[in-house]
Amino acid sequence: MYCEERDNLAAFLDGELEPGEAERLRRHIEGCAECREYLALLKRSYDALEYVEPVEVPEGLGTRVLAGARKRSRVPMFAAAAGLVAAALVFTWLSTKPGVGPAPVEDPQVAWAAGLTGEEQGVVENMDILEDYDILSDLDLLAQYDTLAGFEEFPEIEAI
Amino acid sequence: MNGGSPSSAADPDTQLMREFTAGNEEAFDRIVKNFEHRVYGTIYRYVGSRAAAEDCAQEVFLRLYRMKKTYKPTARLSTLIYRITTNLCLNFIRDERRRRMVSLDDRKNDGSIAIGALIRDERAEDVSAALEARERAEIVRRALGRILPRQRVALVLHRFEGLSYAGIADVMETNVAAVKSLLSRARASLAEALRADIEAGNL
Ligand SMILES: [Zn+2]
Repeated sequence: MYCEERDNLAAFLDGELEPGEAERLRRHIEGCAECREYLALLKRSYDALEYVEPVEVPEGLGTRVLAGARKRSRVPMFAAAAGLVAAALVFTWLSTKPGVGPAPVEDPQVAWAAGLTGEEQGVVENMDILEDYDILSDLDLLAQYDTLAGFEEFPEIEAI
Repeated sequence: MNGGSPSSAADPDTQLMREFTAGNEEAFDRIVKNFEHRVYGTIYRYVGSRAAAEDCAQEVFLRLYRMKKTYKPTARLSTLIYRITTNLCLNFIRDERRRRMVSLDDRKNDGSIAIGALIRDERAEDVSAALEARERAEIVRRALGRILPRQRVALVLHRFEGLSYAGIADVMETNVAAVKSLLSRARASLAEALRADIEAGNL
């Protein structure tokens, strides 16, 4: 339908092709009006991203971040005990629900840090994360999730 | 992927995280100072809302703080922080969608609600006049919001954070070929979303 070289044009613009490959594509582009036109559109649309406003970090963000991290990382004893019970429940529940939950992330450290509930072991080992964690409030949603079969979460993941 | 890259040993930020895990609380202050702009900026570009960006940024650093006892320097600190940030961004969209699924049963959502909800549709009124900067920003943000989640993550890291394909592959725990494909598709969506405005001379 369109020139098959089109998929390489972004990497060409980004200078991320091997030198030989880039040279080959450059010669193709010289002779292909369609690629020239599309390359121009890619470039202009990427340049247009400059119109996104500059990011200004809100004043005092760092202070709030630090205060929040230190405050929310303190876990009172009773909360820790409650967390232990909750974690055990969650663990049991998840163990009986294969296939429920987001796609696993390879790095367990990050899986934990990002709150990915597929890491049951991490949940049990890191009770303090349950203090304010999605996982408990997600239980209702996860239960409803079963009824939403056929919903494509991240369709593009399969495609790569 | 090179999770345990040798460069992490000499990286000053990674060293700060080591000091923090060894008990130096002040090292964490410096980590926040060094990364708040990158974290907030990445989330803001991805999600398109300042309030959500602040909340997510808080969460990123909270999760990093809680690694105090479990942290292992398997990657540069910047890679780890971008990884937590982008995973939270992806979760944010997933949760938004799920919330919407449950409440509205909208099965056709394309992941752009976070941005779509924040942008008024005021295009048609003002075709002939030159578009103001704010309006151009809205057009562009709306186009960004239409890009599928993982493609958008790759695009934000590349365009706004200046990461190379290899750097993005590290953050997203995939390979360079997959990043090339994500970015190619991200930029194709962007081009199609902006084509009419570019051809009309609005951008
Ligand atoms: Zn061509």
